[in-house]
Amino acid sequence: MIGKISRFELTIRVILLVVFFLFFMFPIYWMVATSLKNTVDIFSIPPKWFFKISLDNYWYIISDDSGFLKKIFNSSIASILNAIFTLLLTFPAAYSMSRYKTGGINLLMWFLSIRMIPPIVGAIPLFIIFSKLGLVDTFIALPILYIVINLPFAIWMIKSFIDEIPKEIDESAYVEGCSTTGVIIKIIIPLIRPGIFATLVFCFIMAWNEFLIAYIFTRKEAITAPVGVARFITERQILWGYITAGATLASILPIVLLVIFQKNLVRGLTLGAVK
Amino acid sequence: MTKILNFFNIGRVGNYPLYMVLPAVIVLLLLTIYPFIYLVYVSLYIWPISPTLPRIFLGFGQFTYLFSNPAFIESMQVTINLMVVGVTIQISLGMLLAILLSTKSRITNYFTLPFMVPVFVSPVVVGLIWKFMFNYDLGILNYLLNVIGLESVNWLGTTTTAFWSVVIIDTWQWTPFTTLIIKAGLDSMDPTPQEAATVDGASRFQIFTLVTFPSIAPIFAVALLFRTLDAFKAFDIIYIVTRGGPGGSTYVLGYNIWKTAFYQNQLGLAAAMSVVMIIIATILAFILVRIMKGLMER
Amino acid sequence: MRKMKKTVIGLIAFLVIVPISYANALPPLAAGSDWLRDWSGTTLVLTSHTGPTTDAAKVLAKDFEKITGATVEVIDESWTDLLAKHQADYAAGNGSYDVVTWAYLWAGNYIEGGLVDDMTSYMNGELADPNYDLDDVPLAVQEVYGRYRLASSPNTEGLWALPYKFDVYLAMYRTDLFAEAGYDSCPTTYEELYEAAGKIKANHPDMDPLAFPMAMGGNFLSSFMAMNSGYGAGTPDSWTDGNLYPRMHQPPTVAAAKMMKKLMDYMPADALDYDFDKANTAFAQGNAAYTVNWNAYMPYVLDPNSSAVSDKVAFCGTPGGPEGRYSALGGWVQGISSQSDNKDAAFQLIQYLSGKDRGVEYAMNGGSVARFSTANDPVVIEKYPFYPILMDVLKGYTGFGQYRPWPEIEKTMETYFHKVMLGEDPEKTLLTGAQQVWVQAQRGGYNPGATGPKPE
Repeated sequence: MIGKISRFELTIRVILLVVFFLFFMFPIYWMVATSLKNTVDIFSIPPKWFFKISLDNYWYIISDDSGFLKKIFNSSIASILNAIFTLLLTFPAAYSMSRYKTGGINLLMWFLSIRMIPPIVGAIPLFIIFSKLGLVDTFIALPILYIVINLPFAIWMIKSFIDEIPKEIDESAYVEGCSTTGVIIKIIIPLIRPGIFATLVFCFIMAWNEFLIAYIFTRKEAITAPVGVARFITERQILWGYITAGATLASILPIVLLVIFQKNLVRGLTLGAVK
Repeated sequence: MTKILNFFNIGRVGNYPLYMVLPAVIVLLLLTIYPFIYLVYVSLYIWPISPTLPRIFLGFGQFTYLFSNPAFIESMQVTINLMVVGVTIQISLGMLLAILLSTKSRITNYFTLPFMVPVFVSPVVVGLIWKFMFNYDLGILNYLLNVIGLESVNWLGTTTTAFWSVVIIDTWQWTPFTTLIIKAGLDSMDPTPQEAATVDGASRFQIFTLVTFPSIAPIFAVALLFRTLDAFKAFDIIYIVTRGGPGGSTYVLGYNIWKTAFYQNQLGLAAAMSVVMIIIATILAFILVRIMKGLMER
Repeated sequence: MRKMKKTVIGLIAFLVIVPISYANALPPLAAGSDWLRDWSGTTLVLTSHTGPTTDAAKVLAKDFEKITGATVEVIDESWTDLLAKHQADYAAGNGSYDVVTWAYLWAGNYIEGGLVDDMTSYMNGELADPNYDLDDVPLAVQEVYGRYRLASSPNTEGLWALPYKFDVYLAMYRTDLFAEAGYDSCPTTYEELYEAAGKIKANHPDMDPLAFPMAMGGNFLSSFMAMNSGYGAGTPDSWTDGNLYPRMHQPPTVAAAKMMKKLMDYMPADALDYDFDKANTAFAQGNAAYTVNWNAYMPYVLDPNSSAVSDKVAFCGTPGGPEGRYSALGGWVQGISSQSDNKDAAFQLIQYLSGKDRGVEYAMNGGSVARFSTANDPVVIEKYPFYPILMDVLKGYTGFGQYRPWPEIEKTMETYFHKVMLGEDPEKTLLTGAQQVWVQAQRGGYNPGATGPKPE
């Protein structure tokens, strides 16, 4: 904002920010706090603000009985593989669409429209195909399926980053005898490295947090973290302690990535259309 | 095709531009075209999941039944309501927060990171936490209300409150998304026009509506576009928190399809709903992209 | 020459018969058992829902593994979407499961859908447990759990499943609060319950005395079922007749719905969000005086570690209406997956888990067993005092529909019942619901028109 703000207004703004901060942060705090309570405390009214910290829930989650660590591992594999697949497909496409306007606005729009398709819609036919191919409950299934979710966004993002780089740089490289692949690898990639990170992290997190597809396409071996958390809704009762502990664990990784890459992620979210 | 051929001769490339785009296009086609064809086919039948049970051809009759089915109409309404209400709040709140966060002060810099967290938590987790907090007897929200002296709210128990509870959860998770986009827009805005306007004596309000807002309109549109499309797909939160109830007040299309296909065994009907959903989504995207394009070209 | 011919014929016969009998031969008996075979090298997959029953099944499965040498994998997941997973697996032809469990109200999908096999020949064959004693299982349970007698059944005399989890809807109440209000035993009718709740509320204005599961997704119908039959809608199916013609708009059900709405006066404001778990927890925390729920939820209330009222509760059957007193029968069953590669072994596992000799062990490990011998066993009764009542109330039982369109019809009915609970006009609302049920029955391949035209 331009211009000076009165002290009064500044105070109001800060107060508002604090209020919103509480609104957005409180549930996270509550999740972590609940995970550290033992069962009796979780259900007590009035809620205990100061309680004896108990790591019981975490011990169980980490133990072999719950198998939760394996699910975190599975989530990692699925997300990393997917991020790699997506980027491999994205680069050529984004470069082509940026420099040569391949497909024009229509192709761009088609990619975008894919994003609108609710995953449930494609789940059944794909499930049948994947079953016939023996891909259900494997480590490769989810990375492939998440491409549908991540690729449109990734292409959009990378394309707008490439858009920012003046074409002249490409031209001079070509003049010097560089091949297209060479240009991409040696010139473009280093220049948009922050953008690549941002996209990678974004794809990773979207894959990590996804629930529906993971639920349908895994059975035992490849179950991911969100599905694992949902499984604590048992027939007898909702195991809030385990759920919050699992949820906290499952959220640590995305949040850590967020903290590390925050600048790039924010830039990435602008989608380059800002300039 | 002609577009691509036209650009044939730029640089040293032959068919390169086309080839480069093909892998992405082919993968996406495989993963989306086949399901779509399957869905259109299945939507014409009464089609139980089990292959042993009879499949009855209804043709267009399936769609007539669909549009006369109160449950479907209701889920359409709920989805649209949720979408419109939710996105409006998220965009407005996002704008407000973006402005607040842009305040040039040392304190505000610390706020940005925490605000981003909700977007990066799994919707399943988000749903579970809020479900716990919304609990009438055991939830923290009612407790806090009681402490202030207000009555407990029946968050998930009546049709109106359940709807608004879902809106709250959705807002909680996605406002940071819109905030960040708009803030990025504000940050990278060229301050010159605003400075000029101030010099000319325009009021803060005028500056905002006539100068600031138009220049971030493209960004705004992007946020609007993505949020709307995502809101249309809503499933995870409903599945975890309300399961479509009470009485159908949060029975969004995505959840309807899920229930119809997997629980009520009516794959044909679910496919019909899916087809309708895809068509609507495509039209929506088309409209929104057009608007966006218009704004960007200004 | 003749001798030569005989030898040749004998040789040919030998060469033909031996391979055939070899192919059909069962493995030898496992060491230490007179009926279990040696299944070393076989892996069996049992799919069920998470919870104490499956936990008990896991324990028994380990014993089965020890005796037979088989490997038993128990996959448990959230019960609500088990039907979906099983059907999807079947449709894809994966054959991932050997022993399938399902809620009996889904039977239509499993039996008509071809997901499971008829076990009648197995029951009469060599692989059966000689001490199985099917008569030890109440007839009501046999009928509802194991048989599928609808006209659309592939075999109305078939035995499609054996019990896995025995569920009866019981009432649990706080002896102290009821005594305070002047009742020394639980209410026998819904009117009486209403009165008692009123008195308890007068004594404790902050409490919502009734904790009934009322949410959609089967919770409401479970609580409403016995009431529906109690007001004259019929048993064991109070929802439709043989042609799937709806009953929800007819006077008995309307009356029952009105009674339920009346009872809501004493339920929490968000009662319609209460599922089995929530109602049970509320009661265990001491926030309610009377609750109804499946017996599987009751051990939680009896356990001092999880319940604040473990020493103040008693059990009884659900109340009755003017036309009789009934108990809702739920439950899960187990059968052989039609796509299994190990059906013989699967059958033996099922026999093992549900056999008479393992009844007490199963119950003591947390499973819910439908056998007289188990219900009358003193050790079981000491830990789970409600067992004898379970058997007792079976004399008048009512159940869910089992036909294929049931899940769709269940959802429609619950949607409209919910609307009535939210205050809409009962007659009109239930009529609209009945109209939809009629159409759904038709689309499901039944012929409600044979009973009557679409309700109006």
